[in-house]
Amino acid sequence: MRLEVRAFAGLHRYIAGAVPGESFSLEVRDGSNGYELLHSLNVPVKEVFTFMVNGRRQDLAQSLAEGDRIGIFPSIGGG
Amino acid sequence: MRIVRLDMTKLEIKQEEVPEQYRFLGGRALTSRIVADEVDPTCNPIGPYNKLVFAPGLLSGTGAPSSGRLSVGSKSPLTGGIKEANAGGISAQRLANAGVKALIIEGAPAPGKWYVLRIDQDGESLTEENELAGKGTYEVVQALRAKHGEKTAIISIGPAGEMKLTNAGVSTCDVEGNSSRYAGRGGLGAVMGAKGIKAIVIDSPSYINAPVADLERFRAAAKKFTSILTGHPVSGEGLPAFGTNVLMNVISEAGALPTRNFSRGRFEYANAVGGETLAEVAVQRGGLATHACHPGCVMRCSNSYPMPDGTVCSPIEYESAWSLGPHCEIKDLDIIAKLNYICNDVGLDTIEAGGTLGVAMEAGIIPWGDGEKAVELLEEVGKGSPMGRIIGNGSVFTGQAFGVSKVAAVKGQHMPAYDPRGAKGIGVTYATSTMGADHTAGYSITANVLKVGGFVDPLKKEGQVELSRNLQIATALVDSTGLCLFVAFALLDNPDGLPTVVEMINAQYGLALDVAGALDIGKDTLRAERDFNAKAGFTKAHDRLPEFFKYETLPPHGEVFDVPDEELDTVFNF
Ligand code: SF4
Repeated sequence: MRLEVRAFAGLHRYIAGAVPGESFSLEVRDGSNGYELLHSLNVPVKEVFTFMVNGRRQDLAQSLAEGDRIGIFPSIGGG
Repeated sequence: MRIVRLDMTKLEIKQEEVPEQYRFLGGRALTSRIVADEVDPTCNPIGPYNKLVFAPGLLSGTGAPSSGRLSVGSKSPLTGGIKEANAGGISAQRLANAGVKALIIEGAPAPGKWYVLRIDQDGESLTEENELAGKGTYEVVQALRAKHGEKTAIISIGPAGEMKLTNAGVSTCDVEGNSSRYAGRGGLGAVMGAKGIKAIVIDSPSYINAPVADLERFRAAAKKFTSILTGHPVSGEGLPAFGTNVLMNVISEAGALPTRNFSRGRFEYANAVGGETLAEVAVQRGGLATHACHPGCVMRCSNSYPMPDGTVCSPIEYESAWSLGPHCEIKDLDIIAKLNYICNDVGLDTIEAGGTLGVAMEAGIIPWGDGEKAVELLEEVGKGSPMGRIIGNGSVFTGQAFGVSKVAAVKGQHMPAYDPRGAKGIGVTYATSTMGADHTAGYSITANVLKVGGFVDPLKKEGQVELSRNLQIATALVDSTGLCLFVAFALLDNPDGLPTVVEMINAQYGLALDVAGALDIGKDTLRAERDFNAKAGFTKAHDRLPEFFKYETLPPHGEVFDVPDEELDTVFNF
């Protein structure tokens, strides 16, 4: 299945060819979960504080679905 | 420490002893208390009976990290209720080190005269300086620093404040003299203008030597607090690396970024105007991705962004980047920087100014996303043209002038950078805050989006009232300490945080407060503000969001704001 992925606030540095904040498309095994996605991207799990799927926080253990929009963030804040 | 009272009717300055009931108050607790005690809630905000009060926080001017916040209080010309606007920069540290607990400005001089107040540890003086009239804040700071010293703190107003426009802010400056640190919200620049004060110059021998009862104990607590801040991932790493504008992308991803005047929750070009891009461009052009608004801030959330012509806008904060950006569908950081700079110079609050530009676009005065036209329209404010005065009076006034019903304001004040349908906790704060739509008053984005201090699902109505209530109480306390509100990330996650803040207060003032006792300062402050607003004519009906949030759904989540009115009415049950 294909996913639409974005990595923010410095996390792009783990992903070959990724541009900060810009989306890229990624083919993964059907039914993959967040852990598997991070593993295939080489992003260390401990650096990911917010894992967003279609605009909602989602547990890394939960399965992903075709066409999901994924956002990966470290711990951030502001206001 | 002394209280300085400046009577602008008699042009008379008095030094007063600090009354017993104010001794252990500072910042917002003190300015709101003085306004509640001394100002008639029904007075005209730009008339002679309103007062403008400045106070450093309880810890300001000491070695406590990130403690240099200034509180400015008054009756707001924008909301008609009480107002506490809080600013960074160096003026709170200077005031505390000049021995000033609070400055109260009252009365009104003969029209057309402009004065500069100077304060230092030896006393105060007032001079008529009409030649500064009409000048922008950057030039005022330069002129006054040339005369009084390059390290002085300058508080000033721009032409917007002189014209007494309801979106005029009070400007303060950073170490470098950028007049960009604003007590922006609620039109307090118009009150300063009504008092005939163009600027206040503050000098002091030090930034960090305000009186402390038990210095050794204080230093230990301050050291511990520094490591609590630097040890938290948000205040220790995130804020210094990308600044507050790192929020642009996460709020857009979460579907809560108000785009095109609150018509959708994601902006396709969020990344082009977000913190990552800002940091990269700033550094490329020789600017700074991280900067402290006052000496001793360890979180350094600010930046300095050189514009293409070499002029520097320092900083561009998230809220400003949003209001002048996605809210207007503007996707060019250089335009955002330029608009931000105009706001700083003319003397406007950026959130309200951007909010208003979006309303002007909704009205069809200028096209959506047209940066050049937005610059031209905003420049009208400084010229004082009829159109400029409309824009300078804020979003509600502009909406009325042009027949726009969709204006995202509460109690007359425009919303900041989070849509209350995509993050419902912040909607509760917008609706109920004593300040009008204000994110800082109870920053529910922490638990709704950032997962700091727990998690409350942003799209559900459950749990939002309690979240907002607790944050509003804690915030009223933090705003009274002089600590920057961004310490809240660490306070919410680290159980040692709040006790260490209380320990610093105890060591400085020789008190024996516990955490509950300190939170009472927050509760008392909210009660005083609510009471003032009730006397000014505010009712439950004012604690509501504009009605379109109840029936217009927000893409991508398709939510409306559905926290029931009866629940909103329980926020202040404590
Ligand atoms: S965190 Fe930012 S706004 Fe707060 S005191 Fe530091 S530089 Fe100023």
